[in-house]
Amino acid sequence: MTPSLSFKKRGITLSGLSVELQGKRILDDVDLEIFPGEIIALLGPSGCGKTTMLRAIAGLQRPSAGEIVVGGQAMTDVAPYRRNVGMVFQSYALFPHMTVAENIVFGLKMHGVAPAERAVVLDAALTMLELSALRDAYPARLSGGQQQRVAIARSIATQPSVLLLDEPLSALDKKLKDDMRSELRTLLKKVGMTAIIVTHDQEEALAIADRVAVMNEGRIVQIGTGGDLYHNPNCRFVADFVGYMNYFEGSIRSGSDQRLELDIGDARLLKARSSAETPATGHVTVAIRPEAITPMPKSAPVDQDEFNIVPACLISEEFLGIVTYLRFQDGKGRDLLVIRSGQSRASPLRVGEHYDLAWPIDVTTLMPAEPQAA
Amino acid sequence: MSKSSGFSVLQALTFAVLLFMALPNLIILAVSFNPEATLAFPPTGISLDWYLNVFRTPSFAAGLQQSVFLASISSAVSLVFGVLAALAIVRFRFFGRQAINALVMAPLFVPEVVMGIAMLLWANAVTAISNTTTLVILHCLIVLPYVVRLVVANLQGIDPNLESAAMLLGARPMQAFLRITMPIIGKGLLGAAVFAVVMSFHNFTATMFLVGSRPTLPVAAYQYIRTENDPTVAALSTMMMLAGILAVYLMERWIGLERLVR
Amino acid sequence: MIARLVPYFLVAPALLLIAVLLTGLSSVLGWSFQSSAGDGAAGLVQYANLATNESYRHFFTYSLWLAAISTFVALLLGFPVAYYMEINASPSQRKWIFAGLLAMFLSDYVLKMFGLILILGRSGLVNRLAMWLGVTDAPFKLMYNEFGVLVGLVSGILPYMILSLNGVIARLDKRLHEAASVLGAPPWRIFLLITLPLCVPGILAGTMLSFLLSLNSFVTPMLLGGGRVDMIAVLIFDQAINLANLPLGSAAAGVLFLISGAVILLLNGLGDRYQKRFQR
Repeated sequence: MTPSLSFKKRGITLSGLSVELQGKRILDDVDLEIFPGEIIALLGPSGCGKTTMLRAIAGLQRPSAGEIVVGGQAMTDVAPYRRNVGMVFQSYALFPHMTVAENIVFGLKMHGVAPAERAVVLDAALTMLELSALRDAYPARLSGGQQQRVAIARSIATQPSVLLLDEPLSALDKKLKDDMRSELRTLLKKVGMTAIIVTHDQEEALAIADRVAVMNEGRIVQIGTGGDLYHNPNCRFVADFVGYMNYFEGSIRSGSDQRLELDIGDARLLKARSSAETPATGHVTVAIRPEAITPMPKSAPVDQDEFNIVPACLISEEFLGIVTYLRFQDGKGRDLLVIRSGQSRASPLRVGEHYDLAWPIDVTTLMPAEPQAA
Repeated sequence: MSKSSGFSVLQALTFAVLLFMALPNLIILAVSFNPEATLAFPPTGISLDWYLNVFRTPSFAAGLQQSVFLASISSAVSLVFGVLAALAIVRFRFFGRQAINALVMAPLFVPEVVMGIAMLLWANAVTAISNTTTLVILHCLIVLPYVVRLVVANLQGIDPNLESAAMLLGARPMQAFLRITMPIIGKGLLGAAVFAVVMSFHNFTATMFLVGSRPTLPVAAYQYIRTENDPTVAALSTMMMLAGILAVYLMERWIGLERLVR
Repeated sequence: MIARLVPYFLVAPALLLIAVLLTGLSSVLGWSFQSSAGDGAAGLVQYANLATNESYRHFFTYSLWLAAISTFVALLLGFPVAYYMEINASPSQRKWIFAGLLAMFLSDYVLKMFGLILILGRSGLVNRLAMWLGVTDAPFKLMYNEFGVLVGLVSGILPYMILSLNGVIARLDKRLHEAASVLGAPPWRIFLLITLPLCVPGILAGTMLSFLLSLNSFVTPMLLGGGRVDMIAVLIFDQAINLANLPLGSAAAGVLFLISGAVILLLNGLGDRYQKRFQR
């Protein structure tokens, strides 16, 4: 890496941030603390407010309430051109009438950087993003991946305190997207700047970010590392957004400090570890990741203290290459998805046969019961 | 982004320019109701005398007749010619297509005075041709490029598979065109026709070279303005403005205003 | 075989019309090589006459000058309108402005000039207002001179200019402005460095159209210039119709045709070169 591109790591604090557009609350009283040098992903369906949050931090969207503090400085009322945040737009928004080099130095010119220093930074940015050969090309002649690299180079050339990326990979095709995912994280970590990346793709969020904030209807539903969200989702929305999940509706029968017993309408009770967040009594949703479940022959011995067991019939088997999807149905008509790695041909399972579906009680997640969606 | 004070300055400037553009029309409107025989402003009262006077002025009546005749004949002719040419340009790939397309658009690039003198010299050379016939040809030439452009745009918007589908269902090519394509572009054709009428009706400069003893309405108005000094022309203008507004309304309904200028 | 001729049959009537125009244009060329006395071919005498005679030359230089000034003023006045209309106006406001522009675009040119006479004349709106306000005792001379003609030209070409500009402004990508803003460009620099360069194709198109319309204007110099302002169209009409000097009129028409063609080629070429530079 060239020494001329260095970044001051700055944290961001959002408190009570709200945005209203035409009487509609797009962002609803959001609090968020981002640590210096951290990469955070805002994950959620379209219309959840994630892009609006990004635009508010950039100053392109005026908040109706709340505070934005970057590196200890209040930014809420600062015009976008005085904030020095970097932003990569979804469409890249490269200036079509300027070459790659002119695009990259645009921000430096605006900040009054002397030509000599501009040239140094330009060379550093071109080298870093492997764009040197394209320095005099116009954006329309570049491929999607190249355009994206120019957009990134342009946004970091001014050495901003924060980098904002709005769906940076969505315009790329599948293969390139997968490559750029790890490249992007490597790059961001290399320059070490604080970054916020907006995406609706959970794999992208998990692969790039240190922490992921799952958003829905203008609020942050849950924030944590990929592992936190995946293994301990606090509601069905998060669980569904970050991978597949099997659910049982049930109620808590009895609980000790260590272990809860759950009635899901079967003869056998399910068991789960209790934690600080789980309710002690009442209705709950029991959630199990499909890859945690192992189908066992009916007669196989299972340690009933450590495993939950639900008997079910194999309905169908879909071989997808890396994994196989097994769809089961239990005696109460509930569908269960099991994902196994490995080859279909070697599978001893037979469609139409009954199996015991077993999973460790440690991976049995409990969340508050929700009113059933229609 | 914050809306700074630049916003209101821009707004003020915009409305000032729009006012500048509309002011001549507004003044005409006001003066046309003036009871006095001078072009005085502001008017001292309200009177419809000048409107009646429009109909009593023989040159206006003759001009209107001539203009209506020219506009209807030339827009009808150029509509037929234009639709045929547009069909060839859109539906066929043939040698010289680009060149023909450019040729049909050529009148747009000939200055009006040049067109006027060219048609004058052509008529002189042909000799056995009436002034009115030459004017019809001139107006057809002026209107043709616009008609072709509008009809081409309309035809290009139609899925050619529609006609194919009709033919697979047993329609002959002509039937498919008349029953499928025509109804779809019908409104576009009406709009093009209105546009053609307006363009022909308002043509002045090229027409001046050929009017001879039968002036069109704009030429009659021009001659009146140069000799008389009363609000009759203002009354005439007001009536023509109303017709213009009607034309704009019809074109908005039939082709959409945006399409006219793109 | 017949099927391959179908498109030619379809374009034949339109081409016949165009052929008339081409015949007429070639007669203009032919006549321009005649002598004024009508005694046969005279080579380039008429063109030499136009080039050497100071008063004829003035018609051309002065028309070019007036066309340039009026186009420039129309660009300055038209840009804010087109910009406001496409960027700031609400959809309904935009629709009304658009309809108004089109109404003006389609309204009768002669009558528009008549309206301007009512505004600029000796006892027109402006002078009455000025005298009523006590700004002046004697009426200003606002028409039958260069000023009046310029006002008329600008008023005539403004709708064309605005309608040429608003297409290109409507296609501006708002994200580019935001990107420039985030990169530290204040609004005025965004306008100069992003908005304006991206509007160049529309500016060139509007400039070409407006310049040609002004250059060829006949009604305006006749009505607002009282026939006393030297514009090419007036010269051609006078020579061809009033003075029956067809050779000189034809030569002037030929020169005007050439100038117009050169302007079209020049501005179109500039526009193409500008856009090809950064387009696919």
